[in-house]
Amino acid sequence: MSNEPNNAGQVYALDMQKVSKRFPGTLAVDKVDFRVKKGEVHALMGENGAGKSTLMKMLNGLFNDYTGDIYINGEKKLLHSPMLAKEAGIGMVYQELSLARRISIYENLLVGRLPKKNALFIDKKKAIAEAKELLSRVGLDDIDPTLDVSEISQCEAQLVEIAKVLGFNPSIVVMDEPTSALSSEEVNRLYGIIRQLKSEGLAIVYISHHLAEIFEIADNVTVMRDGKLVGALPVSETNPDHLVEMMVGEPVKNFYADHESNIQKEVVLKAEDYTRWGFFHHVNFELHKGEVLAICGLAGAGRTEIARALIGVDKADGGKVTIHGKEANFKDFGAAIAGGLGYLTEDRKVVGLALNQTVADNVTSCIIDQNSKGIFFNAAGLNGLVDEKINEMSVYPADRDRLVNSFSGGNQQKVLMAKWLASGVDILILDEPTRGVDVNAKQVIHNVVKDYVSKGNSVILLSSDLPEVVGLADRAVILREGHTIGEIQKKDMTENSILIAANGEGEFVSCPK
Amino acid sequence: MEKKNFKLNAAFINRNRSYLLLVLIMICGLFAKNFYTPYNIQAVTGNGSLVIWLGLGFTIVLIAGHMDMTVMYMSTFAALLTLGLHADQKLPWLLCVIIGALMGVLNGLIMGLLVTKLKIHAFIASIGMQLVLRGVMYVYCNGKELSIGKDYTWNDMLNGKLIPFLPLSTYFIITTIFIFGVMVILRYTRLGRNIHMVGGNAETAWLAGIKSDMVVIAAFVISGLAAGLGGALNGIYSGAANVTMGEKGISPFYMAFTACVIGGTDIYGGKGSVIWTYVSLIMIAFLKALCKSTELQVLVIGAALVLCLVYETVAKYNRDKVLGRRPNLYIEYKNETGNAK
Amino acid sequence: MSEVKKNENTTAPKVDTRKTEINKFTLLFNKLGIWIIVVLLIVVGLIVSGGQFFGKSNIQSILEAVALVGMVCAGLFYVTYSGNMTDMSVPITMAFGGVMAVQCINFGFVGAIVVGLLAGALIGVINGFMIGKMRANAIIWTLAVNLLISGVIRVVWQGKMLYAEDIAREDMQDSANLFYSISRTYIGGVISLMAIVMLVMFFISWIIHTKTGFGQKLKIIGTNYEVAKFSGINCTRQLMIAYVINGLCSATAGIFYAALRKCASYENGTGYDFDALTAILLGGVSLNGGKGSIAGTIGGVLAYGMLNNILSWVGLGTYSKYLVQGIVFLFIVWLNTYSNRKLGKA
Repeated sequence: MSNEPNNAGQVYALDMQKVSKRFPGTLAVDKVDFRVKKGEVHALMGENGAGKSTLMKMLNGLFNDYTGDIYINGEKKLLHSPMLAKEAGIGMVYQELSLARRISIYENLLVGRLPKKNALFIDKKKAIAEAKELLSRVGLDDIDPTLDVSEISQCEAQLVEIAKVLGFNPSIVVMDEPTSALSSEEVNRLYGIIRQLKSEGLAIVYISHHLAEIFEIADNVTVMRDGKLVGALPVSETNPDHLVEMMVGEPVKNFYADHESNIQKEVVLKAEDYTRWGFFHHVNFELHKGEVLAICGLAGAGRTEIARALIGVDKADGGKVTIHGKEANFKDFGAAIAGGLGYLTEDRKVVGLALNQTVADNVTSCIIDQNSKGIFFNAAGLNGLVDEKINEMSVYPADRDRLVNSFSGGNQQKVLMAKWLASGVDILILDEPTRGVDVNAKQVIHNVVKDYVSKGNSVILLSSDLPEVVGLADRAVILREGHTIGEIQKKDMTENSILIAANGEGEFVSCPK
Repeated sequence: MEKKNFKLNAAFINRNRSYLLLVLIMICGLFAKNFYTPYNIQAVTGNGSLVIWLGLGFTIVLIAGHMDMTVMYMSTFAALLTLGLHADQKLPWLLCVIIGALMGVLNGLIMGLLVTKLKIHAFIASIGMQLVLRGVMYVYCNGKELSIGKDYTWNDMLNGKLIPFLPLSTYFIITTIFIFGVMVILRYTRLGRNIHMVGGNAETAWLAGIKSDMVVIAAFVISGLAAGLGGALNGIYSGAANVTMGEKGISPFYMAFTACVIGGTDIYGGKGSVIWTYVSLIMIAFLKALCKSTELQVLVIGAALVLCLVYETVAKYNRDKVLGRRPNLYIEYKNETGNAK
Repeated sequence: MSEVKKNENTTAPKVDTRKTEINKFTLLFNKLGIWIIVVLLIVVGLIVSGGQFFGKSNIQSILEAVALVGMVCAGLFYVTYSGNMTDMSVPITMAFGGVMAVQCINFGFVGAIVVGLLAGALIGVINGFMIGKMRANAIIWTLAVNLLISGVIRVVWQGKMLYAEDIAREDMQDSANLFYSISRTYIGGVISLMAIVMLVMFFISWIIHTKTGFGQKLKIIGTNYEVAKFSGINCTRQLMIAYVINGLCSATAGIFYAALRKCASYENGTGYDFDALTAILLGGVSLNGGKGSIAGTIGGVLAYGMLNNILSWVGLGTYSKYLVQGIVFLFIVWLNTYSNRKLGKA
């Protein structure tokens, strides 16, 4: 018991001491201490890639090779599998719902532990009663637990998810961006539930990008940056600016060398009152020739949705988009590419690259029509272009006949970038172009983007990597809950100003309406 | 408000479509000659029983999120085995039926292992097992038709009425009892609920500590048991069995499959009920009695199947379109358009 | 293992080279594997037949036996390749093609064939729309179409067999005879017209697969539908084309089958869905889509035919063949799934 983490006699609900987790090539979590008291809401903050989610995955038992010690209520626990984590009293509310939609609520709540009446049958009455009890803990007294999950709203499903976690009687509840699918009234409801849980003595770890939420609900906050602990302090002793500063830290010098921006007057893309009901409303922005325009917003602000509508994959309901002065209303993505608009998707593994095909197949996949003679298409005829582009992107190894899934993540991303360079479009939407890649690849991609715009092309950058936005973008449009609320010019652009603006605060130049 | 009511009705009709169709057929039956005679009802339900067993097996596997195309061959083989063993080895009927059912269980077990352990897609695995079963049963009976022989005790028993005043054959009543038994298992036991859960979201089930592999195997085994037992009893009930049983006219497999879809069992797994399939199959049995020409039967059943699938596909297509809509914005949209109007 | 290696090479983002070799080997096996089996089967065939395997009549019988399956495979390849597993409406497409051709024999021989092919294309369009546009479950939908069209044929023609000479008018009897003869013609007295047509169809199919934009697009769609969508590929149209090609090929096979049987009915084509799928999987086309070649498919078709042929040389009856076929099928599918999982897909 000598190791017992006593701090003036107090036992923490959760005490992670010097925990580290190494992924190939990177140290995702580096000797982090993380302590949560009983009956407190502890916010965990940091930018994307700061290591928050890795830390929480570790807590949830998804890794069996972390180092360091984890104490739960003063007892040392090994969290090497999800079941062990569950037994240790850790409940994780996932960001994406892990409910079976076509199954009734009470079964989802009690999955894997339905009460039995005797050896054979489940006790439905008891199950429903138990489910009702759990639902009432999250304020859903009026919901019939025999309904299917598909019959209730997204918000209610999110609360059901929380109730499901509570069903395991956790002493620590981890909530990862729990408000991302909720409306503002529903968020208040969630706060009520969190306060209730807090008064019951549970420890709550609350992960969010929304500063307002932190100040509303959290007692203490821990900030991480680049896998390291920056500091932990009570919320009452801090303010938004200070927190942002902690998250952002000192800007990395010389990583983003200033580049000569070559912005011309000509407006190549203009969105006016662009609306897709329920996804984004009355969006306005202009993109100039030779400009990198960032669209910034918190998770779920509607960045990707705008891109999908622009390229014609989803249908917009209102507003007007003009490209090169002509009204553009693409009926599918193929037409958009022909019209000079490309879109580099955010998740390369799911919607970016055909992993089981060769580099050449992937790079040429968006220009098959443009390079066909009638119905005939000569793949070998494009080899020159493919080689040129993968050399430009310095893909290693530069072998166009290799399967994409045998490349490292960074090189896969370079292949994806090469694909859109090869497409020959003059407006490119980049959605998280450097997520999950190593520094080298990041550098290469950034240089290529600068090179690309210097040739008179334009880029719309959708990124939640703030240093990247500050380093690359010439202007940033701030998007908040589906609305454009303003823009920040290059001179005013810092990570702090963007983050504060995206939270709906701070001063910025207003959008011309 | 009017619109909402209408929507509710459409949903209601859709949810209870198998019952409503059954009522419809029964009403049509009023205008047919010799439809509501005890003899007709007894014959229709009895002859329709085999498909109910098949539908039962198919439904369970579908709920667990897989497809089992072997049900028809399992039942045919079970029928052949039962009749053959009784005729050649002089085994008592009960033992023959048990062996037939066990054959089904064995096949279900193999299917389950192929799907869970070797990770072969269930549909493809069942195509392979179909060929294997076909080969085995041709080898067993040399392609000849097997008949019941001279021992009619069980045949009489199955054809006779269990309850004197009810015009239902014993075979049909056994079928119904079995169906309700499986219904109870699916609805009220942990195994049954786990089958739903695994079919609904295999990952959630796994994270919650459910042994998904075992659950899927159990679903296949129950399916095999149903098909085997049903086939064995059907062999005795009809007094003869041959390898091409059901290949003439409309294939029993198709009827079972159609009934699953019409009944409302979700083709992506997780939702469904053997009772829905049961009602749909009784509906189909009466439909067959109603329109005597096989041709028309196939067309009507085919059209119903396609209609249900189109309805569900279009509904899913429309649902996917609005997936990920932000609640805040949707409220705003309602306000805005409400003001505009 | 790979992690250790990566950590050693800290200077450059090197990738594990061992993995590539496996990939290349697997690729090679995927390309040539079935031809190795074909050669093996030839050797086995020579042994069991006592050298008569290469006799003229035996080769003829192998080719004739596989010709119809081959024609179906030439089109079904695209369905499997596009990631939609298989088309369960192949039997009814064959039947429908045959029935329409025979029914329209009075339009003359060419007219009859064209109508038959159009019938197949129609089913292809229906399938393509529902699967490509509405994203219906491919297997369940095609099963339903199989049942529906079967019902239509049975109701319209009252479940009767159709004979071309009965339908043809007096002056069209020549067409009817010509129609029957297509399955009995031997070019140069040696090689059956059916086999030639099959080879021609495979050749066209090979061109489509390797030389056209459609083939290239379908490769991406088959590998990952979403990626294809976000590469500006019109997936709906490509899948529609794939199903139409499949419908045309099945209808061609159906027309030859009707001519061979000298009658057309709703039953023509029963069992061809499984036969063709077996041959395609034997040929190394991945069930997950995006992988496979026409050359492999031809190999699969030949292997399938030779396997049957050898089984009859061994003296197994039609029936016990099913057993062997089933086991071979399951083994091949397992190999297919297993190698895909090793490649990190599945």
